[in-house]
Amino acid sequence: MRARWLVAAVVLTSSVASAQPKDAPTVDCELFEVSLTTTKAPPPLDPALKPLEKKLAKPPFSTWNTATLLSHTTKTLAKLKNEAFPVKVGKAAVMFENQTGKSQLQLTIQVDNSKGKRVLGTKIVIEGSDYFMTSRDDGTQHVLALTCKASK
Amino acid sequence: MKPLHDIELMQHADGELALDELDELALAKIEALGHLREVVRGSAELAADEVPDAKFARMWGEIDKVLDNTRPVAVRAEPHAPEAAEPRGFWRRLGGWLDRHRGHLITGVVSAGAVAAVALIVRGGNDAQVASSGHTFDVQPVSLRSPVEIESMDTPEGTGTVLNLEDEDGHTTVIWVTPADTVEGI
Repeated sequence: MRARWLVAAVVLTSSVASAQPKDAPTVDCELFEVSLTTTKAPPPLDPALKPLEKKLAKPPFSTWNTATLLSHTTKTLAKLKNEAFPVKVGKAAVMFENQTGKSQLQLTIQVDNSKGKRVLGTKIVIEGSDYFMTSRDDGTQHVLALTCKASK
Repeated sequence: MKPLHDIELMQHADGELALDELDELALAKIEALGHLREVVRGSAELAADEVPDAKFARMWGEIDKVLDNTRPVAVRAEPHAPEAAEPRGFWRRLGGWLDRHRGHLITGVVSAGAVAAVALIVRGGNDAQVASSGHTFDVQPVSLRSPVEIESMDTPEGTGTVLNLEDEDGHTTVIWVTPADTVEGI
């Protein structure tokens, strides 16, 4: 009787495992960490910041004339797994919650400041390839810009 | 009236002998015989019901004995050519194992099939998940994209201001966090 249940358990486990989707959805996210300052002779924009050029040229970001890229990280996020992004100032984590419809992603974003205190916790629904940005004063004006799209 | 013997009463109770006149004692004995017959019949039926279980238990016991005896015998029978006999012995043992555990395997497969069916039904009820598991994701043209929807926002260390920027690259939603001790906002 014990052998019978053992065989049943093994087959059951393998069956349930095979019932899981083989191509579980993942998203590729890009996080830019930028510091905004004002200088007398602003240097040309870092080429790595080209995707953010138009956004940084608009208010309220245009208040500052110098954007310095602190870090740029690309990560593939599995569904419902909180992923910490390495940033120079504070902490940042993103979780891919779900896909809504065919083109929107539900994300949870958490940002801590340099003192380790939570400054933002938000859940958003964003179109693939659109940008989400958050900015705060953390010594200098600190900006995080996030864009995600489904993995190919 | 001639006294009746017990054997005559038993024959009467079985329908083998017809007696015309019965006294109270004879009637009581016949009734008692009826009760006794019911008890014996019930006991016999119960014994009959127990026969299959006992038979199965004996069969399993014999199978276990055969399994226990098979391995040492096999080792003794081929002590000089273990390597040559290994593949054949393995497949034979595997075949024997499958034969012996056919019932177990069928039980497992049926159970697994039922669970898989339930899993598929449950998963099929959520359209968003179907879209996800199907891995169909489109990046909409900029003109068709919806602005970012903020479902929840918590800024414990200050206040949050939501801004929407639009350009030819799409929507950009900004949460501008102003520390609580800042007098002047953005």
